Amino acid sequence: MKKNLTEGQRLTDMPVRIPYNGTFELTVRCNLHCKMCLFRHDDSENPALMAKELTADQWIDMARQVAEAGTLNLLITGGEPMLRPDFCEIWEGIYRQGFILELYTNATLVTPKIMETLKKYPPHKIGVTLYGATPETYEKVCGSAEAFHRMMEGIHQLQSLPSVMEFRVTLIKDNFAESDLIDDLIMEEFHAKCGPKQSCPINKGVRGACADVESCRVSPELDMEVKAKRLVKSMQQIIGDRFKPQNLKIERKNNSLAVNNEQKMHPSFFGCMAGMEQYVITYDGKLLACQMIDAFFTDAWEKGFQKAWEEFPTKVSIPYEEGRCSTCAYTDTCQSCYGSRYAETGDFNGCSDYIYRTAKARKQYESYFGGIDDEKCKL
Amino acid sequence: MEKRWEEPSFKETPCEPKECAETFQAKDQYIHRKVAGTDVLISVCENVANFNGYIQLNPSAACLWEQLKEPSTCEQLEQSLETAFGIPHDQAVEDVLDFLKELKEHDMVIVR
Repeated sequence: MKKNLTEGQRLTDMPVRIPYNGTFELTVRCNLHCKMCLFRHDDSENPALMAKELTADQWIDMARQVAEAGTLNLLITGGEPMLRPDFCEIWEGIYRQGFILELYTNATLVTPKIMETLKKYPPHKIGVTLYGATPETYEKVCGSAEAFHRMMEGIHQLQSLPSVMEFRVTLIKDNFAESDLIDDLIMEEFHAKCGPKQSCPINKGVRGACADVESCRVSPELDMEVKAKRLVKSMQQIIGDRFKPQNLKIERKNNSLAVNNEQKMHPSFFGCMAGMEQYVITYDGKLLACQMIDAFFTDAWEKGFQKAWEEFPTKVSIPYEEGRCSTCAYTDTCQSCYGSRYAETGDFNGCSDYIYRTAKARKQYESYFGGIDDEKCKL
Repeated sequence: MEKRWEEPSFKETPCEPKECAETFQAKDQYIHRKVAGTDVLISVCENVANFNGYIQLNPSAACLWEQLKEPSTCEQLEQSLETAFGIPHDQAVEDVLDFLKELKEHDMVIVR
């Protein structure tokens, strides 16, 4: 926050915040051991984590509370949510409250019982993460070759649902060479209408996650190159031959703390809608603005969702540093946010070599397109 | 018997005789709830791919949808609108017909 407001002032000065978009993180545990996972803890912590996880009844009650508070879109995620033995019970209980539901999964734990539940109560959208195009790569990235076969079978089963399916991929050193093969798998085996979403940049682990992301992620330059090529390919698939990358003009939106949109100021905590319209309920019932940032939270289970949501603004305190990035040549292409900077450096306003090179690489690949409309890109 | 000429005239009937005898019930593939004071229908079950997931209802549509949770005749639906909004009977008739037409077109209602 720019101004140092008192707790009372923050609440009275705060515009109406409605929690339209929620995320329920059913667990941070996962059956896979992906080297770059943001959230997974070491397996030795599982008993302690499980002891803190909300029960099925608590999740269903939380769904009732968030529906009452105005949540329309709800993402069910993990860790791997299907790892919970009571996943079906939780899913059905949440579903009956009436949300636009999205499910994130690695598709390796799709059992007949889960399919029976999902057929009865299909999500509106399923986001599936893919880590490779071969068992060998799954072994390297996730620690399980068998998971590849289970993922293939799981996705085929999930595709029998009327849900929209979106594929996601994170490229690290171990699966980078398979980037095109992963795309082919998605397009040919699963007949997707467009390629996968690529997570880029790859953030370091947060909230006690055990992954050593730095040692496995590829350079920002390589990552951005593949991302830019994938973007062009996917546009070509959608638009066809009429699409000419060189004719594209890039306009940039101001992503500063207060966004001036149609003459209306939209205050925010983190330069996005986190904490204003969106929130996360963690596996142990805490309310966060963003799954990446646990520095500010209220206890949604102890206090009740509505109270926790109302009190959240009093917990946020980000030091304002004017001119921190003013000497950087790549501020216009830097897409780092408070969450990613905090994950990367432990400082909300911090910068690292990785963040800097990512912004620089993005600038380089944007010039591959027709060019940047400098006038419109002035911040 | 010789037919007497009459000036052509149209008289709208409250609803088609067939529809009067029919009952209508909302399909259970929609969940009606409020989101920040606005009534919405969330498409669920095999309907998830429809309407981008949800439809916004105005207050009169929300009133009719609630009535349609039970099998209802046109007359009952018209009565609901008249009671809730104090509108003239003719307007209620027209609104119910329009609404039922929409619901039937989108296969959102069971007709018996």
